[in-house]
Amino acid sequence: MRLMNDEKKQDEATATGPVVRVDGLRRHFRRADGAITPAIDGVTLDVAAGEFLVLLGPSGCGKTTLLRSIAGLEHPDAGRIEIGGQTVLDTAARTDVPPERRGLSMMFQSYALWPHMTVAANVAYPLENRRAGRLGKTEIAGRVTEVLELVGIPELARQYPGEMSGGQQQRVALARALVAGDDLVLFDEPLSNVDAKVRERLRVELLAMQRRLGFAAVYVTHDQAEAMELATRIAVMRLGRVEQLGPPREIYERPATRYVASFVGVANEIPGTVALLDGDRAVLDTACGRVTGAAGAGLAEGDPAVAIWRPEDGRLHPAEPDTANRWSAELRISMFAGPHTEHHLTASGLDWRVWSGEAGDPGATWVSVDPSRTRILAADEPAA
Amino acid sequence: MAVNVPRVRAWASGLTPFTLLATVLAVGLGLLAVYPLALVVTRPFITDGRVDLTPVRDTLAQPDLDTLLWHTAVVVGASGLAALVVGAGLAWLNERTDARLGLATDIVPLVPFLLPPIAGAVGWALLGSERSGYLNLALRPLLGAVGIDLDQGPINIHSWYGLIFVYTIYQVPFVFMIVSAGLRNTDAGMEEQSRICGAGPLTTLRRISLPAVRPSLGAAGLLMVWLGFGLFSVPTILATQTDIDILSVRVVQLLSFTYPPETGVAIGLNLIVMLVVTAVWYLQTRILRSDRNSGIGGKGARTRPLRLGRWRPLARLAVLGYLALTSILPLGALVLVSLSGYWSSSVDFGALNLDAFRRTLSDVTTQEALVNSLLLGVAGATIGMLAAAVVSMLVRRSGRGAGLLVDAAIKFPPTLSHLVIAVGFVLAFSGAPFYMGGTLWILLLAYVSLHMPQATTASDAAISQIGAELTEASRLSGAGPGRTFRRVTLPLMMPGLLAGWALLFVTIAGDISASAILAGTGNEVVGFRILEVFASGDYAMLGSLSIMLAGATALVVVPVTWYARRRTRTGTPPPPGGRP
Amino acid sequence: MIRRRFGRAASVLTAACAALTLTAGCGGGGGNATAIPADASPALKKLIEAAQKEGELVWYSVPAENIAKAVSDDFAKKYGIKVKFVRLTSSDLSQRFAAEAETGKPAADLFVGSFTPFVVDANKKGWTTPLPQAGIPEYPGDFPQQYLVSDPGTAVVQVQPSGISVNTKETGGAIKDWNDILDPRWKGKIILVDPRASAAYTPFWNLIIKELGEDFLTKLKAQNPIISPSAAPATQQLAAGEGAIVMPGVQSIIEDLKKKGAPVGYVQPPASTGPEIVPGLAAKAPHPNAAKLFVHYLMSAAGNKVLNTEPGSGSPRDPGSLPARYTFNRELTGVPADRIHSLLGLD
Repeated sequence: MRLMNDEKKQDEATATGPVVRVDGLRRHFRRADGAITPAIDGVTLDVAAGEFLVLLGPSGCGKTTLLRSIAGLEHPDAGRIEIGGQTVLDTAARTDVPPERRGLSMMFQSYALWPHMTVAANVAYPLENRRAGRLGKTEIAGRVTEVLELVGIPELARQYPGEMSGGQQQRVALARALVAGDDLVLFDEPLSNVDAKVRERLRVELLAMQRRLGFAAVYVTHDQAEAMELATRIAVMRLGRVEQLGPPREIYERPATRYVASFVGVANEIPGTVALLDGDRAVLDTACGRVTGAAGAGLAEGDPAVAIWRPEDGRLHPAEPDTANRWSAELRISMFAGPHTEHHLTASGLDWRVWSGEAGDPGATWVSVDPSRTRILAADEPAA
Repeated sequence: MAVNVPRVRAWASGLTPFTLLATVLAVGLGLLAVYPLALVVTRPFITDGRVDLTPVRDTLAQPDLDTLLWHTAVVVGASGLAALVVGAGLAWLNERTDARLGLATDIVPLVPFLLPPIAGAVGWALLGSERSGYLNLALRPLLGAVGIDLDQGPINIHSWYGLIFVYTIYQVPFVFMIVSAGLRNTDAGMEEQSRICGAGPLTTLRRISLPAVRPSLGAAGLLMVWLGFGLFSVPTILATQTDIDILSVRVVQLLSFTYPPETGVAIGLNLIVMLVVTAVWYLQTRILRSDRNSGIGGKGARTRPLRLGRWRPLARLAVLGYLALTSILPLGALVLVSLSGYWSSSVDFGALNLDAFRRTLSDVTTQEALVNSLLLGVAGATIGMLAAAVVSMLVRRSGRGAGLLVDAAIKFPPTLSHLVIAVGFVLAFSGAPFYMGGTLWILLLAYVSLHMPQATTASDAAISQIGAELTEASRLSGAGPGRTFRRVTLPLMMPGLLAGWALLFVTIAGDISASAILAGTGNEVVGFRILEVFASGDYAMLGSLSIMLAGATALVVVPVTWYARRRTRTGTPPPPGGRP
Repeated sequence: MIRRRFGRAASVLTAACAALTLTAGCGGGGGNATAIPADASPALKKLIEAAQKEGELVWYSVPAENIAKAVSDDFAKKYGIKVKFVRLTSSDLSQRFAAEAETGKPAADLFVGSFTPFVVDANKKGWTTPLPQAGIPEYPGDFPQQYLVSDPGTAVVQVQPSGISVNTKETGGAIKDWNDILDPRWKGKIILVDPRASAAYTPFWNLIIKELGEDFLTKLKAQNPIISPSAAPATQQLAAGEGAIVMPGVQSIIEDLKKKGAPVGYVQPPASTGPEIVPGLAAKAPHPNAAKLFVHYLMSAAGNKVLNTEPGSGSPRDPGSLPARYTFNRELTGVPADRIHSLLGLD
């Protein structure tokens, strides 16, 4: 692929380390009432070459501010950012490289297409601006055609953005973000404005393109399903901090905190007190009896904690089973969802969900969860 | 809002040749406004090197200060409100409904502006004077036919309502321009939603469209307070005959009656105006701060005009009626007076002649003045709007810090009597080291400086339409601030800038206020000619001169407005067609 | 596309600037060098030569445009010096002349304006040179003594006596003197030119008080006059029949309207005063010799005649052109402006 082969300095990037390195970043905002609230509260993370990092969190968690800080559109109060080994922000040294000299691309939530330019002009724009290795007119035109073909809209080159559908505009925005062949492309919730079907298709295409072109992506979303599908790593953010950073599977199966567990996927909870701590196993005293599971960090015997398990790990039994974690519950309602049936249960005033292949009848039932699939986590705030 | 310290640092580190140039330009404009003024204003307040507050005391001791302020406030306030209603209504019809009449609707609100205020005021005096006003002469026989016999009236333009009416006509264009921009900014979907919820066009206008453009209405309100206090020709001619005391007239009397002029008290009165304007300005920035929606996002949705149904002919009639009332009538009165040779209560149609036009056309000085005025209009409007665009961009980028200060420095001085400012320009630029006295350059400087409030209001409105992400996307595409301004911001602002340009061109070409002191043998301009002709009592020539000026400016303004409209269309093309 | 638009804007701008410099540079038409009159004294000859070397004269005029033009053209023809003038109202003239004088680079060589406190002040501040010290040949010559003003050393070259303008259709011949205005017939039909508009009206109202007492002003106020900002719109209103009488009336404006067929007339009561026009030489005049020559010309029999040909201006050299009982402004200072305004109900 020419787009990448010509321009990529991939060897260099991988040799010298991560594409992006964020170190101790802080950014505060002053609210209308004068109170100062942190938007980014000490974030440190790296993005490796070719990696797809998703910043995930609810609105107001600081994920967009972090992305815009990397882009150079926000001016953090403290911290350092390196891109491709170059320091682009160092508040101590008063360095703040403007966005146009950071050598990255970005796709905006609103697409930010320039309405007075045709699709071709929009896409050609980043190429016209580059300082090093200025391209000739025909070369630019060639690249524009190439990238428009790549995103599947070669026929729209001469149209204006206002004349197109949302999905088409999105492809133009993507083409513009990819055309320069930068090592790093930022995405600010780029798929939130189109319908579900288009979104799914674009998600697959985007991932395929990222793999093919090899750029590192930093992608902001609040949609945990999208995050898990796209990411090589997810950074779950909360109140300006990275709560947990890891591959999607790790985030899902071994959430570090109650917040992460409840934000990513569905989590059933049983609150209690830590009765026993044995290496990475913990036993919790709860209203439903003793619960055994894998212990999270920062627990001590006697602490309040929460046992968390996923709906697909729950097993329903007509009679009391002979396993470690088993609780008697009331099956209120079962809903057939296609791949599985969702059972809503109540036990000791707690609401749980269990996904299983079989149908169920309302009434008394037993639930069990393998202790290896149960996490015992400190009882801090769950996600809203 | 951001904590200040890092903001300043970021701003400094983002310093490029372009931002530097822009900053220098903005500061230069600020100085251009403040420096001449300081030369005049500080003087009465400093005696023997000490601050002397006698003028403030003298001002407050003016015996009828309360009447003066009250009368002025009533006229400015009432005309401002009326202009808001009329201007917003016209803007809404033009932007959102199928009542628009092509180019005509764009130009209608501008037309009264083609007549310099002094000519407009004379036109209205000719029309609406109690005994011999042309309108009254025409109306009385009609009323007589239905049994109402009057020997004067029914209209009296020399009255509260008359004065407020003419003020309103001169305020409407600003509201129209700003509210139009605001409407273009807001999503028409809101209105469509309102219609679906069962609200008719009028309810939609009242409950949805107008509240949505509150920030624009605020900006328009500010500009009107600003200009309303400054309007001088209209109250001199129309208010003096009734017992209405208007501040701008009093200020000029204070400056003209005695020598040395009572500059201290005059400025003291102006400072009261400035206080009012500052208060309104503060309110307006508060309103604007809460407003973060901008129209040209990356998706460029466009509205389909609202169908007015049976209201449509009525709405069109109202627009045309407004055109007739505000433009054709005073123009007609001026044509009539210039054809008759003088203002007569019995128009002898056989004796009408083109003598006044002939005299105007054959006068070399007038020809020179016309050419100069048009040139100054083009140059002043172009420089003014470009500078305003840069300033608006800077103010928007720098948020609430230094940018706001420069903005205020540029916008506030013109609230003072233009006579005072013109004297300041003479003091500042006539002698060493500039030696611009008697040249067109000093007029150009003064015009640009005096019209910056209008220019920046227009460009603020234009830039507010551009979503921040559009410029951010350009920066991320590797374009610096200069290139971003040139390739993205400026083209997107263009329709709004052109509308502002037209307004600026018209007011500069017909300027009377600064010209009275700054124009002369080497730099004759039409406004000054009009003043000369007015002073010698030659209404016929005043009429023919104003009509020629209006014609000449219309020849420039109409194509520009047309082009601006066309650009709006290609700039933000039709809505997504729903194609997948 | 974008480049093209910018190119266009730039070229428009350049064109405009070029034109600006052009028009600013070239002035009005000049005259041909004319021979120096044979009967001129040596001093005058020297002055003419020096003035011709300067070649140009710029002056500010309160007298009406047609008069200023006639004088300028005649002077230009006679001496071959290019003349430019700006016609200004009395108060604009003082504002402008003062501001320019302060910058040290006045645009005008002299003003010919109403004798107001400004004229005295300008001399005190050194902005003007008193005529006796200016070195004008044969000054004051045979110019009537009583029209010379010792402080600040100038001379009244024109008198514009005030009178009453009437609408002939409304008044017929009923108005002959000031007192006739108080007839109840004219209630609501008198147009009063706002005395607050210019200090030049103060001597006039002083004269009225001196002749007819303060009582006249009180009675005039009771006539419910229409207040007009200046004489020009007042006279137009008069022609249209909005009022029957304008006070004080300006004859030159009336004559102009009469020529166009308007039903207006001018009445000159015997007791009168009016704006007195004096020249003031700019101390730092760009063309000092031309200015001195111009003053010499205005005071000469020939020049003064041109200045005062139009009806409505009285010549000091022709007593017949003045009202029977003319009183000088300088003798009419007793009642302050504030008092006049309050008697007329104008505050």
